[in-house]
This record gives sequence, C-alpha cells and structure tokens, in this order.
Amino acid sequence: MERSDAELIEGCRRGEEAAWEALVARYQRLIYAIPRRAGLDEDRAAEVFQDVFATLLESLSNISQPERLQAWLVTTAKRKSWRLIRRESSTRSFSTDDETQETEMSNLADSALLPDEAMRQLEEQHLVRLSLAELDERCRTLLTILFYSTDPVPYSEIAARLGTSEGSIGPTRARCLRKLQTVLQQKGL
Amino acid sequence: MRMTPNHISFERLAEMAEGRFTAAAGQPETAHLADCRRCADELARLERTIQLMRADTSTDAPRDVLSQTVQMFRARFPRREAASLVKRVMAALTFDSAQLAPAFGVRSGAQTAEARQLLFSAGETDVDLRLASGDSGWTISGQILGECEGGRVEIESVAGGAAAGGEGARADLNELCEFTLPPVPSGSYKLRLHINDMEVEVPELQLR
Repeated sequence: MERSDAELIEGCRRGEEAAWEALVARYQRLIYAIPRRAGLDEDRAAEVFQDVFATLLESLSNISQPERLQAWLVTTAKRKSWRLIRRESSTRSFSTDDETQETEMSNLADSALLPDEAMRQLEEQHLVRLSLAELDERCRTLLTILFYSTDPVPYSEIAARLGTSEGSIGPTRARCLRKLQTVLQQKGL
Repeated sequence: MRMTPNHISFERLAEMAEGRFTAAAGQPETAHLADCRRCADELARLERTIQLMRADTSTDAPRDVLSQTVQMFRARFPRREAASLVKRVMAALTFDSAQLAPAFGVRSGAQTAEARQLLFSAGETDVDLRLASGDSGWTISGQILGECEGGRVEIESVAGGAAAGGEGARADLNELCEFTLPPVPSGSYKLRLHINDMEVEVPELQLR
C-alpha cells in the first residue's frame, strides 16, 4: 500500500530518508515539468527543481496541511520558475531597478508561460501516471506502449512483448483502460 | 461488436475514444450517445484520459539532479543523529567459571565438559553467558539480567568470516530475555546484544 503524502511528510520529519526518497520519486517528474513547460532549459529547470525540494526540506516542520503537498509543490515550482525567468529577463533588459516593469514581466510570465490550463493538464497527467503505476504490470506495459509511445507500435510487436496473440490486445486494452478509469476516479479525476 | 441491451460496451467506447471507431450518422451508437448521459460521460472521460496520456511529453529529472536532491536530506538529517541514539557499551568480564579452582574431589575434566559460565557487566545490565561444546559445535546461550524489554543477539567471527552458515548467527530474546544461538564451530567470536536503546558488545570470546 502506497504511503500517503501526509505519512511521507511525517516520515521525513522523523528523519526517514526512505520517506524523502519516496516523495522525490513521486513528484520529480511533475516538478521538473513545470520549469520546462515555462520554457526554461534543462540547467535552469534543474536549478528550479532543486530549489523547490530544498524549500520543502526547510519547510517540513511548517507544513500544516501535508495532504495538500502537491498544490504546495506546484505553486512553489511555478513561482520559482517565473522568478528565475524574471531575474534573467531583467538582467538582459538592464532595467532591474524598474519595479513596474518587473511586476509586469512576472505577471506576463505567470499567465503566458504557465497558464492555468497548462498547469491543470500537468497535474492531471501526473495523476494518470500515478494511477498507471498502481495497475498490474501487464496493463502498465500495454497502456504505456499504446499511449505514451511517440510512434505507433504495430500490434504484432505489442503481442510479442506481452507474450499474447494480436487478437487479445483489444479486449485486454479495454480491460486495462477500465481499471485505469477506476483508479483515476478514486483519485478524484 | 455486441452492445449491452441498454448501453454501449466499454470496449466499443474505448475504440471510439481512441479513434479506432467513429460512429457515423444513422449508426445505433450515435443515437444512443445522443440520448444516454451515462455512456456520453464515460466516453468523454475515456477521451480525456487518452488525450492526457498521448499529450504527456514530460521527462524524468536528470539522474544526477535526483541524486543531489536525495542527498540534501542527508545533509539536513545526518545519519549519525539516528546512530547516536543507540548507546554502545563494552561489557566487562566479572566472572568466569573456567577460572575457578576445581573443588575438592571434582575432576577438572568433568568441569570442562559442562557449560562454562561467564558473567559480563555493562553499566546497569549484566549478561549471563553459557558456553557448551557438543558434536555440532559450540552453543552459546544466556540471559540478560537487569532492565530488558526484548532485543536480539548477534555473533560474528572475529577472523572476519561469518559464523554459522556464512552469514553470522543471531537470535531474538524471549520474554525472559533469554536466548540460544545456533551452534558455531570453534574460533574467536564477538557477541553483540541489542537491548533497549543500547548495543552491548562482549569482547572476544574464545571457543576452543
């Protein structure tokens, strides 16, 4: 049984490294995706990523609603992303003293680079990945091949990888999608 | 494709959501979806899930970044903090039955055939050890005297090789804080007792 965010936060507070590792593993992809989605390159995204987790580490004892950890992480990643963008833009424009321009720029970065719809989509994709991870290996493999592959994979290849016949892929796919929908529903999507 | 009497089958809905089947005008699915909220909602949810998966271009954070992030925790909560909670105590020998002069009329040979008793003291805890040799090797048993709420005992060959089957031997304390370790061959051993928040080490035990 997966430990909840609240349980992992509690474990971290007790100094359990395994709890911290589990938290990082759970959210790493989502948190890294936010600065990347805002247009930051890999190095800058890594900077934001580490900054977010460093802030979490420092705030462990102050988080009053650990069950809302995801929202906290997302907001923090979002803010740190546009702060970095603002800082770099300001440096380039030689107008660091111009407060009005900075504010405008941050607003622009916030709404244009990380619009609410894009953020919602990142969070929902995170939820789908978490749900997929809860399925049995066969379903996980099949749905990953079918829906996460960049190029379509021929049924013959899928059948070979699953050790099954091409004819059974359709019914298996439906069964796996149904399971995924059930988990997603439990998670509120 | 068969439909359930009232609703479109999940398999058909999945095909529609994936774009493998499009219900054209006049087909029964089209008419059903127009009237059935349940099937229309199910289809919309499936379409959304599939769209989310297909549009997911996110990647894992680089491995070195992940590794550094995990290490942050070690810097914040050094492992030695946890280790320091366990007090390590070296036990001192206070009694050894082998050191006693044979009683009048008792042959020394008879004494060595019996279990040898050793008493060790570690702070407020005493450890009573019995060493007995037999066909299968040496058996170490004993009891913790003093405050004890369970724990375990481990033995390790001092020569570096593990005792009893190559991985060391261990035993849990029973409710009377007694233990009996699996037999080990002759040699030099180190015994560790993990009791309460304390690790008591019994220095080199010569089993010959």
